[in-house]
Amino acid sequence: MLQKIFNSQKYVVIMLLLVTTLVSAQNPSNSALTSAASVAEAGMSESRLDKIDQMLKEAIAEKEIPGAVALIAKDGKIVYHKSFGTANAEGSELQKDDIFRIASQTKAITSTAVMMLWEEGKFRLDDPISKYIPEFKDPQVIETFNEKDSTYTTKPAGKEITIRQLLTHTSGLGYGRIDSDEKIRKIYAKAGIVDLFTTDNVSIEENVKKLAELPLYAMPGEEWHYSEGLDVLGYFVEKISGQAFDHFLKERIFEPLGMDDTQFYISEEDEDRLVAVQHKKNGEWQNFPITFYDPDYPFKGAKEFFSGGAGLTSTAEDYARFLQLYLNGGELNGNRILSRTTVDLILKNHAKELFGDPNKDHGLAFSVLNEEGARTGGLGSEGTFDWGGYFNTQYFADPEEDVIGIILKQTQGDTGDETGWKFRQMVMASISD
Amino acid sequence: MFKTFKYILLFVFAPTLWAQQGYEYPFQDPSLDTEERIDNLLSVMTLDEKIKALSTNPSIPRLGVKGTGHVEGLHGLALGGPAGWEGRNREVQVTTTFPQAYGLGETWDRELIQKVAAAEGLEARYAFQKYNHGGLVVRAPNADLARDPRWGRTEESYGEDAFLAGELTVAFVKGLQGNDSNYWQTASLMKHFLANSNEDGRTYTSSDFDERLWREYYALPFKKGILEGGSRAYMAAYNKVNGIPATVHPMLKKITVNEWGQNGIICTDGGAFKLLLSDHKYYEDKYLGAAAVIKAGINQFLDEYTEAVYGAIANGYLSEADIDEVIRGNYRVMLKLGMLDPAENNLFTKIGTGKDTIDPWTTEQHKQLSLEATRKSIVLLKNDPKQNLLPLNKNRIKTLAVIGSRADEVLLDWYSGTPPYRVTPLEGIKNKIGEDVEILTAENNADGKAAEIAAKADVAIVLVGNHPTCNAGWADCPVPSEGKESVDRQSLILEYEDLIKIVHQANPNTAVVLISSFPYAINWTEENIPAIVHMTQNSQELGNGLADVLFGDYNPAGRLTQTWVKSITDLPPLMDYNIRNGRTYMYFEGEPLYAFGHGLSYTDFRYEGVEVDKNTLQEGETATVKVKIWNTGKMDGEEVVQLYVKHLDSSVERPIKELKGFRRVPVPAGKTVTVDLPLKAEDLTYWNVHTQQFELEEGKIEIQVGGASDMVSKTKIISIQK
Repeated sequence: MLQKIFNSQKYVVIMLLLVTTLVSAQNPSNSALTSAASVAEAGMSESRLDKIDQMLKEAIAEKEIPGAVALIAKDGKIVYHKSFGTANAEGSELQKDDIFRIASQTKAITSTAVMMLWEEGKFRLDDPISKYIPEFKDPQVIETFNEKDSTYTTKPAGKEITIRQLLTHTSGLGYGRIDSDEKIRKIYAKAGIVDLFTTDNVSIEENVKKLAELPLYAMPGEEWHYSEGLDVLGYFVEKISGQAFDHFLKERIFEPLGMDDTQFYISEEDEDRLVAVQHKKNGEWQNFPITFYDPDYPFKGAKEFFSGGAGLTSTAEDYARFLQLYLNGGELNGNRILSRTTVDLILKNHAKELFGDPNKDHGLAFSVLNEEGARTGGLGSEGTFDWGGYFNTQYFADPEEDVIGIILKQTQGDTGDETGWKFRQMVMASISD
Repeated sequence: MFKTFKYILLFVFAPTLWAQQGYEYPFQDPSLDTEERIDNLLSVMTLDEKIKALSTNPSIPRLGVKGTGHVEGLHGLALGGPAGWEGRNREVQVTTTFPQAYGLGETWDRELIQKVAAAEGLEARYAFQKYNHGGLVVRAPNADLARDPRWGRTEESYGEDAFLAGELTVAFVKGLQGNDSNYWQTASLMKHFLANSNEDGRTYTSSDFDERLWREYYALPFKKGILEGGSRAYMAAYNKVNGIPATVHPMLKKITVNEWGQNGIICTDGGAFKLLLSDHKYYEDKYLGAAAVIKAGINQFLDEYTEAVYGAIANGYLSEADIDEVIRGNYRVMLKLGMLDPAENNLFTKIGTGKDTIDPWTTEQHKQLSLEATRKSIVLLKNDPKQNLLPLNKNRIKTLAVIGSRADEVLLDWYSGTPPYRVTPLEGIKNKIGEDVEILTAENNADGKAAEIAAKADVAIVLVGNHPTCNAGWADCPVPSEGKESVDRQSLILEYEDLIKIVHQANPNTAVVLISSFPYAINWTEENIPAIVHMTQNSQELGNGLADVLFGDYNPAGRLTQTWVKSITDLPPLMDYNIRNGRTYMYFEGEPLYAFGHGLSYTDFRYEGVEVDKNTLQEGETATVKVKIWNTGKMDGEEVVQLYVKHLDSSVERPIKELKGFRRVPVPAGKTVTVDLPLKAEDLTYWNVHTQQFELEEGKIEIQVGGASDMVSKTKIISIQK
C-alpha cells in the first residue's frame, strides 16, 4: 500500500494529484487484477467515467452521502478507483484503500467457502443441515404469537432445513433485529440472538445453536425471507473443515486471492483506516452512535463473533478481487478456488420463484439478473450478479461484459442517497469497446 | 560420559573395596534401609556430635561422616557476588549466572526453569567435588509469594500467584535434585516458610491471615515443592504467623512433617534463633528458646546455638531423644546426596572428579542456557501497533541513541554469584548491529546530552531501573522506590521517568527498557512511549538477550507474574496479609496498569477453540482442556496459554478468577497448534475449616482461556460433582 510505504496520508494525496493515469495501489506481482494502462484501451470511455466523478461530487454536495470509494474493473483491469468526500464526521479525507464494513457482502464469501467444501464432496446441497448441526433437527414453525409477552406456540414443520435453503434465504429462518416481521424480531431478541455485529464475547457456535432452538417464520422451502442462513453456514464451515471460520477464510480465500485487507476484525494498526458510520442529523453528518450494536465493533470488544452473514470488513479493491474470481470462472492469481462448473452452478437460480423479483433469480448467495432484468435497463447483461450491505455498500459484476462495479459508503438511515443505481447505470454506459 | 567414567572408576577402586570386606558400621552399608542406617548412626554418635549436627553441616569426623553445608543459588550458584558467598578466605569462584528469580518467573516456562536449576545443581556438585568449594544443600528456590510489589525481596520470588509460583518451584526443585531414582544431584532447600513478604520489621512482625489462605495460598508453593517436586528441605521464616514466630510454629511439624511427609532439613533463617529472643521476645531465656526451636522440628541453626542447647538439656527443657528425632532429617538428606555411600553407587559423584573435567561455567552449553533464559524472561509490555517501533530494523537505522544509567552495566543482586563475564545492553546492541550503525550514548541528561543525542538519532532506547542492592550498605536504600532484603519499597514511582520524558520529547521514536526487580507505576511511560520492555538484572547474557528481542531475532513471550498497579494507593496496607482485601489479580477490582499474565508478542495469536474432554469433573479426576491457537501473523512466536477458573456456585468466597493451568508453546507463523492443559479436580478444592480437609464443591465452574488474566479469549462451563 502506498500509505504503508510512505506512512503518511499526505503522500497518497500528492501522488494522486501528480499521477493523472490511475495507479492501482496494489503490488502487481501479487494480483491478476491490475490497473489498466489506459482507460480507453481497456474498453471504457474516460469522458464518461468522468461523469461518475461529477455525479458523486454532486451527491456529496447535496449531502446525500458523506463520501464514497468507487471502483470499476473491465476485463480484469482496474479502470477507475477513486475516493470522494470524508471518512468521518471529523472531516478526515476518505482514502481509496480505506476499510469499510461490508456487512451482507460477506454472504457471497461465506457461500464461496461452503461451495469449496461442497467441491470436496463433504455434503450435498439438499442435505438437511441437521445432519451436520443436530440442534436443527425437527424444526418447529410459529403458529400463534402473543404480542404481550412474546410467547408463542409452534407446530412441527415436518421437514428438515436444507443447505441450499440456507444459501437462498428460503429455510424459514429470520433475521432478528432487522427482520421485516415483528414476531421474529421479538422472539430472537428475547432469546438473545446476536444479529449482525457484536462486541460481546459470543461464538458463532453458541449463537447458531441457540438459533436452532427457535421457531421458524415459515415452512422450509416455501418462502423467501431474508435470514441468518449464512450465519448458520459460517458455523457449518467450522464444523466441516475443523477450522475456525475466520481461519478458513483467511487461509483458503483471502490469502490466495491477495485480499490482505479483508477480515472480520481489523488490527489496531489499521484502526485509522476504518471509515466511520455516519448519519444525518439536522442536515449535518454525524458519527452514528451506539444502538443495538457499537459501530466500532470491527476493532472493539471481544472480536470472537465471525458472522458469515454480515461480519466482514474490506476494501473496494479486495472485494473487486473476489468478484474477479467469479468473472474468471473460479480462478485468480493462478489460484483456483472453485471450478468453472461450480461458478456456473452458483449463478443459476436456486430459489424457484420464491425470491419474488421478476428481474432477478436467486443464486447461491448472489442475486442474478434474468432476461427480464436485463431488459429493464441499466443493470447489466443477463447473468449479472449483485448484492449489497447494511451500511450502504453495493456491488455488481457482469460476466458477459467482464465488468465489475463497487461503490462503498458507510451510512445509516435515509439520506436520499441514489448513487447506488446511478453508479451502476453509468458504469454500463461507459463501456466503449 | 558417565558410563565410561563408571568403568574406569570401578577398575580403580575395585581392589580397595575387596580389601575392605564389608563396612565398619552398619550406617555405611547402602544395602540397609535408610532408617536402620540412621538408627545405627545415632547409636554411635556422642551427645556433643549430635549437638554439632544441629548446624548447617552435620559432618562427624570421628566416624568418617562427611556432610555438606549450604550454598546460595536463586538464579545460578553463588560462590562470589556482592555478598561474598565464596566464604571467608576463599577465592571467588565464577559461576553461570541467570536472570533474577523474578525474571525466571516471567518466563512462565517449567522446562526452562528445570534446565536452569539442573545446570546450577551440576555446577554446585562440580565446585564441591572438584574444588571443595560450597555445598550440596542449595538454598533455592524462594517459594514465598509476592503479594505486594513493595516487598523488598520481590526480586527473589516467582510472583503473586500460588499456582504459578508452585509449579515453577516444583520445576526448580526437580532441576536441582536431578532425576536419579536413588540420589539427588543437590538438595533443594526452599525459603522461607511462610508468608514472609514484608521486610521492614520482619524480625518481629506477624503475618496474619485465616486458615484458608494458609492452606490455599501461602503454603501452596511449599506443599507442591515437597509433594510434587520432592524437596525435603526448607527454611523457616523470620516473621510470626498469626502471632507465633515461624521458627517455633506448630505448623512445621503438624503440617509439613505429619501431613506432607517433610522428613529432611528444616532450618532457621540467618540469626533467627537470636532474634526469637531479641526481637520477637518470645522466650524468657535462650535455653527455653533453643528447646522450643528443636521441639518445633528445626534441625539446623543458622547462628550460634550450642551453648543454648547444652543449657536447655541441663535445665531439663530438652532431651537427647528430642535432638535425635530432629537430626534424623539432616542425615536423610545426607543419605539422599550420597554422602554416606561409596562413590561408585552414585553417578553424581563423577561430576568434576575425572581427570579432564571442564569447568561447566566455561562451556558453551551453559552460556547458551543463560542466553535462552534471558530471552525468555523478557516481557514486551507495550508495542504500539500504529508505530510498530519494535522490533528495530538494523538496516533502516543509521543512528541509535542508547541512554540511561543501566545501559552499560549488568548489576548483581544480594544472592548472586560472580558471573564469568557480563554482556551489558550496550555491548549486546553493538554485537548485534556491528559497525554500520552509529551509536550515541548518554548516561543522563547532564549538559542536555540525552536530549541532544536523542534528537540526532533515528531511534532512542532508554534503559532504566532499580539497583538490586540499592548501591548502598545493608538495610540501606536511599531511593524510596528501591528495595531489597531488609528494606521494603516506599514508592512505586520510577524516578527516571523524567529522563524518559526528555528523550521522548527530543525523539518520539523512543523505546524504554525497564530493568527492574519489581513493578513500577510507569503510567506516563505507558501512555506516551510507543514500546516498553521489562526484564530483570543479573544475567551474564543480559545484553545479548535484550538485543535479540529489540532487533527481532527473538520474538518475546515473557509474561508478568504480578499485577502492576497504577498507584501505591491501589494497594492495601503492606501488613494486610488477607489478600481478599483487594490484593493480587484474584481480588483486585480496580484497573491495573498491566494485568497479571500480561505480555505481548511481535506476532498475533488467536484462540480458535477450547474443548474440555469432560462435562463433569469428579473427585480424583483430571480433565484435559484442549486449546487451539492460531498464529495469525507473519513471525514465529511463543504464546503463554493461561487457564483461569471462576467458581460460579461456590458457598465460600472465591477469587474473581484463579490460574489453574498454563503452558508456554511455540507457534510457527500462520500455523495452528493445540495445547492440552490438565485441569485437576484437586486444584478446584477449598480448605473446609470445619472438616479440616480440602473439599470439592458441587456446582459449575467457568474455564477461561487466554493470553493474560485480562485477555480471556474463550470460556467453557463444566460441572463439578463430588
